Amino acid sequence: MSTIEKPRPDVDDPIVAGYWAATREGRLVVPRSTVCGYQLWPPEEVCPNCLQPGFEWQEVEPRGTLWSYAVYHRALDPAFADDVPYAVGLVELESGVKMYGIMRADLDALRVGAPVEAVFERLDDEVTFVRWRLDED
Amino acid sequence: MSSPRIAIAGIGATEQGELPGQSAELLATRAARIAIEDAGIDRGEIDGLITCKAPLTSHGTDEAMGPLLGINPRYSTTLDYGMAAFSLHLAAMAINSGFARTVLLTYGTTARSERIGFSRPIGGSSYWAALSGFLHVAGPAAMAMRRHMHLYGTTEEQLGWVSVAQREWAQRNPRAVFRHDMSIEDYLAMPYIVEPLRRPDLTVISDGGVAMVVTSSERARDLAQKPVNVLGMAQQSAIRNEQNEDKLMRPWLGDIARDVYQTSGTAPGDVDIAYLQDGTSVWVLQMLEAYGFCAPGEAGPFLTEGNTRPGGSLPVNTNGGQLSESYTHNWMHLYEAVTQLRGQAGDRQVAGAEVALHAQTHDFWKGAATILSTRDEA
Repeated sequence: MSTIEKPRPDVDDPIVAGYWAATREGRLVVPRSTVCGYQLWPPEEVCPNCLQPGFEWQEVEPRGTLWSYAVYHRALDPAFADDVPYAVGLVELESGVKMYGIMRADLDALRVGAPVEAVFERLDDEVTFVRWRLDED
Repeated sequence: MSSPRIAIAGIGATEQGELPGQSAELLATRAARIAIEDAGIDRGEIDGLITCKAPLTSHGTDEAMGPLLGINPRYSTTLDYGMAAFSLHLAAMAINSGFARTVLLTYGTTARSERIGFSRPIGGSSYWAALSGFLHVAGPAAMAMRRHMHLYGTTEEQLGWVSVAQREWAQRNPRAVFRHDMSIEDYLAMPYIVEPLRRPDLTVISDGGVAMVVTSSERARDLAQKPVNVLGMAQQSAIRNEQNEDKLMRPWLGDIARDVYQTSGTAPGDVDIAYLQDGTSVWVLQMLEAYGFCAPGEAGPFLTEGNTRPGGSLPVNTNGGQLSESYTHNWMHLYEAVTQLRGQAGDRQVAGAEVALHAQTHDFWKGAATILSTRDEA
């Protein structure tokens, strides 16, 4: 067991609190400007399209395609020493939003362009991570 | 094309490697002394100072350098990201605006001795990257390479020729940190760090100092060395951070290429030697395409043909680059470009090298490029 703790999100940070509230319920959401309707990822303090604060959390289909991925064979952060080898994917959602996430898949089966779906992994009462697996359907 | 107005008149460098007991400021000052001597100027003629912080540290500010250099230049400042091209361009701006006539550029790093930790999220979205274990520049570079392999059929062996070719160059450079033999078979036999990247695809981490004297081309003609003129320069940032390819495939490199060729009146075919920043080998592969040395997607075959190796059509990073020679964020690349253009590169001199491209990125945030030549025009 690694004794170094992995980074933990601050689920109360107002910029991201809505996201973590949704993942606890098994939903994937992204911020959408209430001023101009622009959908952005990652969340920021203001919308880079209209330079105004104010977002609503828009639920999106927790599916996408694997845009690319990288397989860590060396734990470049000791907190991930127990995880190697592991893959980080960049998932492109249907709306065009791209987000990073750890892949839950046979590493040899990963292919750019493969359909993927979200896995909601509960760490504790506060934190549920979004990981991704190959969508076999 | 107007005649060049800016030139590199002096260069200096320390040894590169593990140099415990020397501060970044001391290393930079030792290099500065050599550069001032090389240019053949008096220290008192320096009226501009641009220093660099080595990334991820607070070392090397102008206020830390002043006491060691013993000067009170009219204009002094520090760039937060310690990188050669951006410093050179800022010097050009200072000279062209009349702020200074003779600018000293300094850089020093103790990244090796200090064991600076690079295993942190890098690029965009660091909060999300950290949660996903997406750490170190190797991660984004591996992801970009995987995408390139998917789009164009590029192979690991083709990528391997970036670092094998640079090792061949490093073996002709006594200053290089990594000089042992490495064949393509040796490369392919090494384990992955972040697949598809292996250790030789990632930068050396070393200590060292580099400095340069920059002045007007007119003034440089009266100094000790053959002036190396800046024929053109360009920059482009990519500081927005959203759901696009800017932080991986870096399409904005193409904007820098277009502008640097336009401002210098050159084309890719005019470039005799190229210095492409190689924090990872993937950046070299990307820049070969972005700077027009081969078509998009064709960098793999271009590398396998041996174009970047000694004797090839486009010698790249003839000092060994960051993959074999030293860390220094493209400072030693600029040093090498000047050395080659002056014809002072010894065993690794590229015959007839008159035009050099020096292209740099601050990873995913911005890039800069310069066309350098001993000629007055393209």
